[in-house]
Amino acid sequence: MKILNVAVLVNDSTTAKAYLLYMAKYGYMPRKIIFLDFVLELGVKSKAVRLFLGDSGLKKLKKIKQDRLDRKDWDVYRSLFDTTDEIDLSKGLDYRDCCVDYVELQIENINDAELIEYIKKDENNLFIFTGGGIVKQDLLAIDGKSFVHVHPGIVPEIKGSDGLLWSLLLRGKPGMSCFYMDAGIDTGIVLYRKEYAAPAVLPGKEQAKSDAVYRVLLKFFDPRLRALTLVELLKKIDAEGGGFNKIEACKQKADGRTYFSMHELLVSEVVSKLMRGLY
Amino acid sequence: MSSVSSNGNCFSVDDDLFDTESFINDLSSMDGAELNSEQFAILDRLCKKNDVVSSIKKVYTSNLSKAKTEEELSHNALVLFVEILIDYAFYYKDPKFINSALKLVDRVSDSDDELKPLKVRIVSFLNSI
Repeated sequence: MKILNVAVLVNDSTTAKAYLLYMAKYGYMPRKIIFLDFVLELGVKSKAVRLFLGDSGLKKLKKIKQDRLDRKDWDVYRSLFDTTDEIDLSKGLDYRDCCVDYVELQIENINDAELIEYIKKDENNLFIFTGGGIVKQDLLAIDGKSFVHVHPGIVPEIKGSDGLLWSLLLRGKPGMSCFYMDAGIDTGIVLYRKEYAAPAVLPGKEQAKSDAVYRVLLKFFDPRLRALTLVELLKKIDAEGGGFNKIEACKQKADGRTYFSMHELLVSEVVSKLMRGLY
Repeated sequence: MSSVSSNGNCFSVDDDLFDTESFINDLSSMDGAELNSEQFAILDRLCKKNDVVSSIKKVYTSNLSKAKTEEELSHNALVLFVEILIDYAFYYKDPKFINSALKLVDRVSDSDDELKPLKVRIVSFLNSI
């Protein structure tokens, strides 16, 4: 296993799991995982449950529920698409097994001052972002630190939200871009870009419900392609014999557009076309 | 910025402000003619206001970065804006404009009769993609 001098910012998600599992599959391990234990925003019901179970009990309960939901969604995903060679992202993962050093930070959100202070002092200079909200300049501008993100869209053409669906609609195939994050939305210096085939739909699934297809694509297909793109970049870095800072990175042109969350009717059209094998 | 449309009309209240309703009226009077790059960019910026914060104000700073009033566009201006978005969605074969039109239609009263023909055009666009 090759140890990479990077730290991965992990919030428990299928995207984080995909990055770590696919990196491991191809022989890479990050030096550090910084697990972001976000303080829960609680509704009335959860507050009542917390009175009985306490904070850790409530978190465990939520985790069990989330895992159960992920299992159900994985079954839906497998029933709709050809998942040969895919890693099951619904399985639980002990993040401690995926790195050399592991640390947990309990924070309010991704821009929490405690995280910023931690990163300032951390020995790593490169951080892989796996999601957790919009990152503000306070974090991105820390001197000597860089943050890498994989965005589901070929930039600069497709920036913003729902990149997977906009890519299918506008380019007929999913695309991924790996770049250094900056203050803009998906405007950073590009390290690697790649387009992929659309997911292979199993026969007889044309009538699948749009909202379910959308949910499982975002939960399993999108993270897998992001992870594979990151792995492709790591392989390229290996092949060129340098580190992240040696690889050719290019500034984005100022053209292209930023897309926003797709309306459900448009989602339904894209999904319908996908399930009929038209992408 | 004192934005000038291809037909010579001014979009701005003055050099420091952007008047959204004037811009919409100017685009409406163009009868679907091609937008210049600045008009296209402004239309795109207004889509962002609509799609991200679900609110389009009557007046912004000249670069549209900040609202200069809390007053939202009138109902009539919103309906006109939906119409313009649909026109240019067809003209440029642009699903992004249709996406904004769909979100705008959701915000404007659903029982509104004047929206019915617009909804038919949206469905026609969706069927064409």
